[in-house]
Amino acid sequence: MKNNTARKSEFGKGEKQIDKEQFLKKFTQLMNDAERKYDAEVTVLLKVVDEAEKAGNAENLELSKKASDAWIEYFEALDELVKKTALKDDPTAKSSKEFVEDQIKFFTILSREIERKIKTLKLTKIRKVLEN
Amino acid sequence: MVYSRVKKLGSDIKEVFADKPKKTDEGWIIDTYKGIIYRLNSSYQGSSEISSTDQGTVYQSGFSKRMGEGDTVTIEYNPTDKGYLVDYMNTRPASALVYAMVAGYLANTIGSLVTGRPPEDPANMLVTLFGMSVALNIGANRNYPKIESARIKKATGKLEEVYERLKKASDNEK
Repeated sequence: MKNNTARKSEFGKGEKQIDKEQFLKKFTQLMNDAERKYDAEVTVLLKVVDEAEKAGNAENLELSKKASDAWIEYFEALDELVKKTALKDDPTAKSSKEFVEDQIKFFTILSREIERKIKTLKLTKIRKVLEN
Repeated sequence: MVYSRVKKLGSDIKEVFADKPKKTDEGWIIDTYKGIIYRLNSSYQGSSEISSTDQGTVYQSGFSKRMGEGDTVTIEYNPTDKGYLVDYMNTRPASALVYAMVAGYLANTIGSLVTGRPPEDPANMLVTLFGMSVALNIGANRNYPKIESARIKKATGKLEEVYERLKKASDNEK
């Protein structure tokens, strides 16, 4: 997606095939699917974090942190893409920016907290070894 | 910090937190972990200790998908319980993402009528949505714009790889 012309021609392919009502219906469906799938993926991650915390499983916590960091990388890439393709008068730019920033903020906190938990687990392990 | 979802009915969510909500000059911080940075505003009625039921409006949230500005939050605190039950009464008709995107799409369509710009211009919200659909493997309809970004593809590949291991780890735990 290098320039506006390319984007227009790509998107324009379907313009004659679907009317606005149909487009909005499909678009809303796609949004619902995206949100449901995203929610499910985040739930998987949080569940692993919960289980790993309860079991004191540092390995799974490390893995969860990698997943959280990967989401940050992904949203940063998406942010860059959105900025690159932004049109000056685009009324949706603000909502997009806010959504992406919220997600980055969320995963940054999550990564930090998981890291803190991993450090605590390691310290507890060392302490137990020293006590024995 | 232990957290467990105890109920999710429609848009209402009840959750239990092991840590006590903290009182700050800006209001109550319910939790700063796992996507929840809910602060109740200064109009919050209550003492420095959480009483049996307190209510306020969220003015800051770290994860807008689950709770956002303007949502009403009730804290039900039971000291004999194992945690702090937070009953979120989400007053928004649709979730933040869908709502923002529909609004964004409509604004774009209306905007195109005003500016004369063709509505088929992929607005940022569309780019965001299709970027999401790439990461989530939903498969955007061929009538919609394609996302062609090496950085997105790289980040998506990493997500897929980590998630495969994460799901295996989750299955092994069971």
